[in-house]
Amino acid sequence: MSSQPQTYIHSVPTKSFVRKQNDVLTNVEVSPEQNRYASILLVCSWAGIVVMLITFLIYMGGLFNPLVKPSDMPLYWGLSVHQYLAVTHAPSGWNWLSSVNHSDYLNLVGLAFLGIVSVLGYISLFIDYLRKKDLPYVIMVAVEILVIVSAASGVFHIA
Amino acid sequence: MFENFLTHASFLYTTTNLAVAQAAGTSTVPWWIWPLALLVTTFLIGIVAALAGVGGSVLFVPIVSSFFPFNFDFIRGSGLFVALACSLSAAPKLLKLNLASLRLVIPLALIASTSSIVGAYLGLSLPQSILKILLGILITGISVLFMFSKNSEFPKIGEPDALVRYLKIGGSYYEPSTGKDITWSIWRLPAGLILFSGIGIIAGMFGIGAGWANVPVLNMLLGAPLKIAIGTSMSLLAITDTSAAWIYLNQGAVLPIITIPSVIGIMAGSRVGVKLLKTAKPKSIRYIVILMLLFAGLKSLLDGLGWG
Repeated sequence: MSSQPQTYIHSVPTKSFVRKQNDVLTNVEVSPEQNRYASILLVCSWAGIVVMLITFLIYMGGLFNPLVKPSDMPLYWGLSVHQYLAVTHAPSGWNWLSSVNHSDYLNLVGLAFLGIVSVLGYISLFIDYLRKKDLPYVIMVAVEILVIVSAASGVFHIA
Repeated sequence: MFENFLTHASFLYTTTNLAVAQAAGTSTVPWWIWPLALLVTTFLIGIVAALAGVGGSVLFVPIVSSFFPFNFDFIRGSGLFVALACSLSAAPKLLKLNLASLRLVIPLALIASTSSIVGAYLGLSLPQSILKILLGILITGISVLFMFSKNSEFPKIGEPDALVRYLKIGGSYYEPSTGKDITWSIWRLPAGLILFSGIGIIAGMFGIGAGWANVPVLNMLLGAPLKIAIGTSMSLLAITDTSAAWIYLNQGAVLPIITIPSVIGIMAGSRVGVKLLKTAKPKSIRYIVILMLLFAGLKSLLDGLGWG
């Protein structure tokens, strides 16, 4: 096997010079699909964090009738998840959505949103790669969406 | 100035953890002390993690499980969300600067996120004593890795393999320190994919982000330049940890009272840490992180063995 190095450093002196060179600019330019994916991640992740912060303040303030009050949590947070579910009768899977009017479950909205940000970005990538007819990446992106959606759907259940 | 800050931060950290450890033994502690202490602790973890260039959750899981009264299940679930939130906030800038390559992220993320589901299952099924022993061994191993690993800024690589050529993985980025464009590619992708399946399992099992493993594999095995390795690793975590985070969320192993202060604390701390980078001495920070990891790893090991 050849041991020829593949990391090249172009002798381009300054960034401004790079900007003037169309061929070089093409090299360092971010692809449109990568740019779009990054923008989706940026906007959606901050939206998720803001929602998470607001709902948490509501919960800590004791508003919206939490099923387990924050002040009672020390009784439960030392239990294993299986014991916690048995003692508090907490819903598992997506059943928490039916309790979203209680502030402890309202908290999960922001967290769940953070969990779908990557999927939203991948949907945009899927469309972009499909347009470019980049088949290997269309397939990989589609399978990744399926993997995350399956994990999110709750079909993988631990007894 | 920085030494002063470090002294104060170390003092605050020790005091916080001491107070937390003492408070854990008394039932008269007001409930709100815990989320507040968690916020302060994770803020400090965020500063140290950013200064040392490591992901927050690799410190979060062992430290919080050592000093807080929360069950290990909930700490791991929170660790995944900590890693996910940090990754989601850092990845956009790295992607827009071309310091991360989606063509490299996508195949690796597919393998790692699928295997992280297996890891999450193992994590939620195995007895906690076994998990703590394994985590102790892992964290101690990571601290040793940090001691001896020597990443290469521009690794020399051989001929890209057939899979790399087929997937057209490679790119260019502008390096401001030299004022030049760096064109890069990788090799040994099949071996990298096998290692990433193992990394995914570990990430899902212990709830730790996998930057500590991603970067050496991308840099030393696949031959990606260091900046690309770091950027790609950060972008990968947003996908790898998502699958495992959903398993923990669906199983009820995510308690907002633990997760949300942790996410906010680490994100705020890492922003302060990035600002302090200008005056920081990376070597001394690295030693502090190694010591923290060694301590937390050994404590987890002893806890798991019932000697803690």
